[in-house]
Amino acid sequence: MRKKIYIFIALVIGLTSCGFLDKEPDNRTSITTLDQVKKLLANAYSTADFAWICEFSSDNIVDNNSEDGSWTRYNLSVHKGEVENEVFAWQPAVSAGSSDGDSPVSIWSRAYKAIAVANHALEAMDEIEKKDSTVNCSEARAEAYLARAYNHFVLANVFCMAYRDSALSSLDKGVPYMTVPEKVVYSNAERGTLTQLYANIEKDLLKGLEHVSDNYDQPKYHFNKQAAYAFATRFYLYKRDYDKVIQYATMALGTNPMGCMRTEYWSKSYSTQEQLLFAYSNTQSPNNFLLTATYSTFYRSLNGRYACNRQASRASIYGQGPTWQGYTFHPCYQKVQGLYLRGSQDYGLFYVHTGEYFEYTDKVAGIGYVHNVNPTFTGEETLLCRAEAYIMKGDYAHALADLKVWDESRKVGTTENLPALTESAIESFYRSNPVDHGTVVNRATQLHCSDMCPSWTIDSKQLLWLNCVLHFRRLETIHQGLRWFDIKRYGIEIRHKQGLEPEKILTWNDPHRAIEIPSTVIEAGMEPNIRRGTVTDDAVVFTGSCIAQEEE
Amino acid sequence: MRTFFVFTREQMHTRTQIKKYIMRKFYVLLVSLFLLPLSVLAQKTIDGVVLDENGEGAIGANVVVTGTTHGTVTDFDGHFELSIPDGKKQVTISYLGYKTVTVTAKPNMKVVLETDALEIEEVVVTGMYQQDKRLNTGSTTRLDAEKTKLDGIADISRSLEGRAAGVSVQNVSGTFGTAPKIKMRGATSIYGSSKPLWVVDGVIMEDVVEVDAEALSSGDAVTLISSAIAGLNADDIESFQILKDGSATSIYGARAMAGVIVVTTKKGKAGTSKINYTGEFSVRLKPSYNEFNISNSQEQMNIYREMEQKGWLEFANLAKANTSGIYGKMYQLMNTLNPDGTFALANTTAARYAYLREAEYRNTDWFNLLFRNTIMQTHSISISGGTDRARFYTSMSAMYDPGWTLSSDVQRYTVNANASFDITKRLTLTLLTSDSYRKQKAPGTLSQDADVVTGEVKRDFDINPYSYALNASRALDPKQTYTRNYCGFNIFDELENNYISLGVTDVKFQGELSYRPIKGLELKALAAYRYQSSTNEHFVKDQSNQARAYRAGIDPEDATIRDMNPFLYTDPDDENALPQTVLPKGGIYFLRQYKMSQFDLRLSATYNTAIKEKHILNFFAGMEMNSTDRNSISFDGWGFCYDDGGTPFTDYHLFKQQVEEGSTYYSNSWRYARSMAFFATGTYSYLGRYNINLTGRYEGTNGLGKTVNARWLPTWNVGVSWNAHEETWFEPAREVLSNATIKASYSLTADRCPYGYAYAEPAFMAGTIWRPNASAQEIGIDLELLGNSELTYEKKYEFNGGVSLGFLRNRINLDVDAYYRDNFDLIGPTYTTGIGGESIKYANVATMKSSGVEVTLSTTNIKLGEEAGNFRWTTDFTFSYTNNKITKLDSRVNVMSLVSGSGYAREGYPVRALFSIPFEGLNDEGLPTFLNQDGVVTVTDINFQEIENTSFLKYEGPTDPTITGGFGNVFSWKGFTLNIFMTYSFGNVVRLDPVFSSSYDDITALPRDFRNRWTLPGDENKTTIPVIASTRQVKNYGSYNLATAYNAYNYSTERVAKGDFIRMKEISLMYDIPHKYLSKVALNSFSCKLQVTNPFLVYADKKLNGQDPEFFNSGGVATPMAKQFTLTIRAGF
Repeated sequence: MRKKIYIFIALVIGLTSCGFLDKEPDNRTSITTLDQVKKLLANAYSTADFAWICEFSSDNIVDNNSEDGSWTRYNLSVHKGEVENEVFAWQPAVSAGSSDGDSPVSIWSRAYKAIAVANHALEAMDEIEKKDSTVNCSEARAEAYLARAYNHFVLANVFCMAYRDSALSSLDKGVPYMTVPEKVVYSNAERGTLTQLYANIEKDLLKGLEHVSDNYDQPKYHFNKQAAYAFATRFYLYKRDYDKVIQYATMALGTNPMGCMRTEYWSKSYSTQEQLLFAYSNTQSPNNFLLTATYSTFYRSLNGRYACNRQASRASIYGQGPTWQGYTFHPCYQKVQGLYLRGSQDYGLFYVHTGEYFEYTDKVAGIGYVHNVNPTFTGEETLLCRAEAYIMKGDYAHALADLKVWDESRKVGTTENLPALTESAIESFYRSNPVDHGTVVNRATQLHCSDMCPSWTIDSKQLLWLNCVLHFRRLETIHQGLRWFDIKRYGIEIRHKQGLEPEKILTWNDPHRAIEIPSTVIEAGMEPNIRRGTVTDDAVVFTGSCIAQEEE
Repeated sequence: MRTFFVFTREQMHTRTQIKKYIMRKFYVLLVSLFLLPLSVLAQKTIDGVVLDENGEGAIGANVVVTGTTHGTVTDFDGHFELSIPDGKKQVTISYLGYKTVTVTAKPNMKVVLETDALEIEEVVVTGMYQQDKRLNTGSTTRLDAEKTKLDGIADISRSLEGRAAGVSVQNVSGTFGTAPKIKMRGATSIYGSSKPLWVVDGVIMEDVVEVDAEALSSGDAVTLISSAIAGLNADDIESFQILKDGSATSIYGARAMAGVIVVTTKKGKAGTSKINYTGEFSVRLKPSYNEFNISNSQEQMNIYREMEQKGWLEFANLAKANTSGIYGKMYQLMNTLNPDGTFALANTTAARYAYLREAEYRNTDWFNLLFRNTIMQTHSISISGGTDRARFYTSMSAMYDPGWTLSSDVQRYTVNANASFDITKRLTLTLLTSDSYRKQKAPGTLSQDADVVTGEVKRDFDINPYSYALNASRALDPKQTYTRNYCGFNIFDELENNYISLGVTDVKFQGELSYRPIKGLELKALAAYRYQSSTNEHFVKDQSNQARAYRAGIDPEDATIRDMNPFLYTDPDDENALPQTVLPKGGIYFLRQYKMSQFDLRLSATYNTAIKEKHILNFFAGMEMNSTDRNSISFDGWGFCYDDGGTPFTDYHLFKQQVEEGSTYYSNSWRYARSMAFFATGTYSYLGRYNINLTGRYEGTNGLGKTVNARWLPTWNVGVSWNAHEETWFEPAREVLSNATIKASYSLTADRCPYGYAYAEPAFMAGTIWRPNASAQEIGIDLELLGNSELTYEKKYEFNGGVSLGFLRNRINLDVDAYYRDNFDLIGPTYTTGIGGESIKYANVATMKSSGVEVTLSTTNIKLGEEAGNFRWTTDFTFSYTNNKITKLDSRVNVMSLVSGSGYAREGYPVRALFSIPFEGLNDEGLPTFLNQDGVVTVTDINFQEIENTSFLKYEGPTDPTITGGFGNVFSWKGFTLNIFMTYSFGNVVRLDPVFSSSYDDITALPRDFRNRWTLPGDENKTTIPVIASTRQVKNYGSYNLATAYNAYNYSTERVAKGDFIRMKEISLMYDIPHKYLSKVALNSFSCKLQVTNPFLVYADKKLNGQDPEFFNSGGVATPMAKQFTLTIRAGF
């Protein structure tokens, strides 16, 4: 009898200890090898797109429902997207659905999701290295650090005010910097300051740059070397550390920047929109440093009430520039399927790379996901970052060289005889066009550098050149959302006219320049950018310190 | 001998055994005291055997010389020896639980005892052990399978409807193999399935696929294998024991939060050899248009005429439309040249008029054409018998159903065998096997899809005969081919060319070893292995509409259709590509395979004892392990040429398309469930009067992920009961109040988190990452879910109180149970700051409360003696009321989820609550108006995606019934038995079928309601049926907006009905041929029974207009329960 009980106990202990219950409930994987870590890191890139919310906040979009020059209003049929109205009015996007790929909550949570992936990967690598010290994880670690830094950088750009300097930005709110996987239901983290956020991003960025490699199955969808340097370029540009901008941009572009331009694309003809789209997001194209596949219906929101139309299009892709006289002359507009795919007087223009890809989940029902492939870092944008840095350093010769490369790269397919970009062409054009088709308040005074940061001063020549580089950046990054960050960085004041309401101007210090963090996040206890209910948010006066103002 | 668990009688009937034990000791003493002096007087000694009704020796029965105190007790085999004093001729034999008999004493006598009706149901079978009912503190119901069984209904789970208080059975589909929606005391989880656990002969029957309770009504092919017990032959079942409260289920711990149904199959008995045959022959009635509210062809053509006047059904739109019927065909005929140069239909007003008039008089009876009056047969034969050492029961059955519809047939074969053998007096081995194979045909179907864009729930290529008959216009010619998916469609051709063939194999091998080393102690080991494999082949043949849809526009060539057909493929890599077909030849062969292997091991010990004849103690303890592996394989064979002898002919573009679209032609996935538990229960009873029960279980599962902290959970129960009738002072009252028990229990039970919502450790899943072109794709591993170290089981505290009373020698039995449940740690969504990577997490944050009352009343109204033919009238009435309310849940849901059919979970409401858009009457154009999210009356401005402002919706009620029950009357006279049984269900609401639309086609049938539709201004004061919108109105409002308006009408307060019903479930007349006529023909018993099942609804909401309140008409493979006549013949030899 006793013997039986012993056998029974032995059996029980045997079963418990041999890990009977350790069986995974399905065919999920656990991350135990470096190869698995690398596969995991393929998901350390956010699938949300900030382009839509940033474009709608910027001066690249107008409301067709407001009167045009001849007092006509377009596209008045019932408008479904309340959230578009909110964003265009620089109000919190409270109507945005959580599953909507372009909503603030999506940008927020998908960036943090990508960060969580990076953190899990880093944790897994600690374990792997602990078990087997011969495994070298440095390259995968580099990718994890870069991805973590970049996703926080996106959050900083979207949800915080623009970086000013370490002292002033320590008065502005940041977002929580996550470095470990979350293991409980609710984790409490303070938002911290923007200065701290930038310091953390820089720390990870530098760790990532140290071991970054090109060893990927799909290098263009991962932080390869060029992408990492381009990220560093943009980061230091926004941080106004111009030497580093030049240093990293040069590392990304190499000795022949023209080789990093999208010249092949501009020189070719395509017969369908799909062809154009595939060519734009081609992994073989030398100018695509980093591509990100996102879920976005941005393209669908451009054919309705809001569009790149009227003054927004004339100030950008439909207008003139220092070497071209209106849309018919600049090469990238000439082709039938060139810069924009479709366009009409009433509805505005569509730029090619906003076109969508459709992934069917059910072909029969015609249901699926709408994707956008976002050229996150490109040769052109990196080049224009360097040009801007040269201007800020007063190195106009180098600045002109870079601006010229960009200008020339767009002329490759043209038969027109367009003038070359020169110093005088730049200065005369931007001197004689002080009002940018009314999208910004006044080009001549648009840059509020010293208001943003008293130590940041520019002279009148720099102003003209900066207008040029900002104009080129606006064209280059149209419908990608980066224009909004330029508007924030320079305190550019822009106008929005919504329906029949009076025109609103976004002043250089308006706290709405930091897009409000998602309402669900606020409800869950995160500190909002602007505390509602205490002051009417329209009446908020910027006092140079968000925190001071928040504390009442 | 019940071999379910190899107990001797002695150990099963604890109380009986103890009494016997006491008595035996007492009598041994008595006998030894009296035997000596009396032996001098002894005249003769007789011997004999006392057997119970099973032919087994009655151990410890009392044998007393009548009129004296002289007597003895029977031994282990029921034998006794007794000396009879002179002048005494009779002995009185008494045995607990049996009627006391007085018989004439003679040598070698044999006495078979009859059970005492008072003592029926004295055992509670928990599936793990058995307990004297009087010591039980939980809420349980025992159902005799013979009385419960619905002849002609092969799935036994359906027969529970209305039989047990607290168990709600909703036949959401009547197709064989689909499980009814069974809820015991309502929902116990918000996101989990709340399905009760089926335990057959001590082994949990795991589902081969986990179809959750709501998906049971989807009509998808997978529902055909959703019933875990469809392989059980109803004739093999002895009884059901329904365990409802935490006290009864606590031994199952975390598997049984939603209740347990214990099924015990028949066993062989010692000393009786039997062979039984049962034959069932059923005929189902075809549904009839009289029951439904469908327009006849004349009314339908009237509607088409109005549609024509309003700008629909025009030649230009219809000739090459995706779908068209009467008018489309007319235009096609007008365009078709006969060989003689004339047109198939002349383009003259007269010819058109003649064509349309023919349609008007057609009145096609689709039900008559698509349904059949075939005879469904079930034959089962069982052989059972036994000796004093071995017992066996073996049965086989065959069910043959040629099909109620044109595309459904079932064949099922089952084997059930069990044998037990007493190796020694202390050691018993039992072997069981239960196997079945099923072959079934069903109409071809794809899965139901909710269009996330419009919220419309739809199914492509649906050819379900029942829903076709309801939805196809009666003006259509059944011999004609109309248009669907840009190609010809005829339902009869399609049913022949597009069907599912299902093969299900289910085998179970079970062995049990029981060892009784000392008195009262039994050690048991049980091992069982079960394997189920289901192969679901969907044949989409070359000539089916579904296959041809993939080449419409290409073959035959038609550029207009080619550019519109969504099933064609355009190569993105080719600049000049035109749409082309990926299925140039052949059809499609879809294969879905589901396999499950389940292994169970249980080791347990039972110890029953009594101390000083007063203190009764029962212990049961053990451990169990369960492992269940599930595997599902899918394979889509495109281009399978059925016509060419089954040759695969695959177009490479298909693969290119699949890679580009991120789909695959095959998949294979696994699920593994492991659990282990240790449990113990103990009952103490003082003289059988005051009982207290304690149960504890410690359980672990791998379901929460690879974690040591969260996966173990203790659950427990405390129960008390008082058997007032056991009190000595109760004795005088026995004639009136024969039985009175009061019990109460309090328990903590739990359930594993629903699959896929949360894990304790992070879950990583590999998959292909979407990229625009195939060359840029790569395999990535994604972080599916963050780990939650705080994760735990969903839990429930339950208080149960019950009274059971028996009056007039138990001619009236009343059982009342009431419970209160506090569900907590339920999985629900919670909105976090999202900085960990998930904004919405599923965690143990939700709570729910529920309560209910259950009443069972059984009465013997009339009981006459032999002179009146033993006339007897008994009534059984069950009633249960349950309500639940979510007390904490942060679900932010959109309007669409709240108003659609199955309801949605929301704080402050029942688990499945249905809401409606407030309807505000028709406007002067006949269009419906509503109160919208901004408090404004509107036609089109309803935002189905609205999340913030949903308070404008009107709460209609729960979608699960709150009151359910049954009412049965049985009349027996001589050999006749008349059974009338009704079930009822109240308290829920039903969404009416969404029939309204901003535009209709000329192929669909519309309900009769359309007769009262708005036609002229002013009608809005008389009717609420909206106008048939004109093309002008569509243009004015915009097609999307007007579609929203009509969709809103479908989900408005107008389109809701009460789900209340009273159903006549069964009327049957049985005749048992008396034994005396049978002995001549070597028959032991013979009966025949005629039964009508589901003949009619006694009561239902008029608004339903024929829509069955239980049935979900979701197309696919769903069919309602048929009205059927069954003839059953039973013969025993």
